[in-house]
Amino acid sequence: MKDEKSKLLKIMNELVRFFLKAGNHHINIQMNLGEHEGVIILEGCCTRISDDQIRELDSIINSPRKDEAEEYYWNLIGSNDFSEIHLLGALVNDGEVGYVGDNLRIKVRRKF
Amino acid sequence: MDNAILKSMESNEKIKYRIMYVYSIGFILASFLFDSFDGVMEGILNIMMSPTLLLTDYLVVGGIGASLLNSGLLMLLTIFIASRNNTLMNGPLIAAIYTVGGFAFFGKNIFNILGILLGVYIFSKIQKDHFSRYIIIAYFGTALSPVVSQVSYGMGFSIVPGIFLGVAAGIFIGLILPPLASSFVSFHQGFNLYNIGFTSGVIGMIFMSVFRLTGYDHSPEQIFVTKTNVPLLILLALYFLSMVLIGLVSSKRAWKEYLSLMKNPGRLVTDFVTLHGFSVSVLNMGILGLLGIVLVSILNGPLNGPVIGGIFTLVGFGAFGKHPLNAFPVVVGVLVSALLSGIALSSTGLLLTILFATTLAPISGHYGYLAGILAGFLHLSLVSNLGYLHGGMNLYNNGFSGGFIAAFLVPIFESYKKEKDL
Repeated sequence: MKDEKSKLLKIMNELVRFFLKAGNHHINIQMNLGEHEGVIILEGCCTRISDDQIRELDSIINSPRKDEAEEYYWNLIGSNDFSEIHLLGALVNDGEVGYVGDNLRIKVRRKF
Repeated sequence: MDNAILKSMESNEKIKYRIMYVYSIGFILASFLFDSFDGVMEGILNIMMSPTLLLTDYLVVGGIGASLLNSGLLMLLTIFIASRNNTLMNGPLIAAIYTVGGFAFFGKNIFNILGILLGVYIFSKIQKDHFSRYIIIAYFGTALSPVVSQVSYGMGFSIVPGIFLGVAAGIFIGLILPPLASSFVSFHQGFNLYNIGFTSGVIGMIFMSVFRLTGYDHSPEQIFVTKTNVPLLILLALYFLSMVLIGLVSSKRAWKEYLSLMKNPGRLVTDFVTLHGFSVSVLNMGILGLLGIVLVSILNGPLNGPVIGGIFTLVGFGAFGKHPLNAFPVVVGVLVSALLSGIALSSTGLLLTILFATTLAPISGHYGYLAGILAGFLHLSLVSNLGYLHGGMNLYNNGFSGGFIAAFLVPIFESYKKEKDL
């Protein structure tokens, strides 16, 4: 539990990077930290990303957790210089990605 | 998750585990083709009782049969522990198993890895976590197993206190490895595939400094076979060829998927098994193994324990970041550096650097061929200067060097890029 807040922060950084990389520069972030799970929701606009990108991200955030990789590599995610979006799946349990009106919305959940 | 998907995943995992078991048991059986039962048992005892500092070739210490048995047993043990902990047979785990199996030809044995594994296990319990979360760190962390052997047999203690202190040192290493491994990966930003090699280098350096402070010192070993055993060469060639065949037979789109795999830069964490499937990863592993053998043969080098360890590590990371296209420029860089400095191309030291320098393959994968060649060139210069720091007690000396080279080059390359990637 003691690293959970740090891990959620890094997951959030990685998702913010995803928005910025896609050209979405107006972002609202919501984080809910519960006793047994953390949920992060980001909504932003205004560049529309392709259906393929949405499908790929959906597949990443809904792939099974990889506990064996987590402790070794979680410090890489959300770092300053490089995208580690493919590592998100190793750290989150599930998520949703799609458009709400013109806003791209991503929600991820991590159980502790 | 859908029940059908879960069942399909479980069934795939079983197949992957079975294939890995077959490869480890194959080595155990093959060991008795090279030596009698008594000879193999005597050899394995010699291996377990040796100090195992770099470079101690188990083909010399215990013979070919015992070395194969040692490698097969260690792979079997690591696969079994992973299975009992419900760990997915993915790229990092395969890389760790083959790295342990490879170094079982020169440094790791059934005695000296156990203390470190136990230490990491105790750490996981202190953290109230599953061991599976730390299993990759535990396996790679056996890089420091010579510390256990050296304290047990090389520092002048009588046998029982020596073994007790050696195992205690291994447990202590296991207790401090996980936080350090997790932290040091940021130092080279994932461009050094042997991250634990860097971490172990730092730990080994601290251990050696304390040893020297107390007045104890030792010299590195240089024990290795200088001629290739042809039947062993054939066995390894068949081993890697079988991997290529498994990869081709089990996937109809193997070559197409393989071309896609080779487009990956390979930076940590690039798990080829998750991204491209187990079959294509095994195909890549087999091809890398065959290329390793061909390279050693072209350079007229001996296929001794350390060189086999280098080839096995190359093979293991064929599931976790390395492929011929990102590894080749680094190899060229080491060769250019060796030619300019007059190092014999067939020397064991150079062959090891060539094989293990591919830890920097992500640099060529990410920044291009020239960057990879420069990384290989610098790596050869640095790696020979680092062994003294840890007194040969970190088996992944190239990972130690690779960490520094990546940390040195990556910020420079990034600052001169035309546009910053996010």
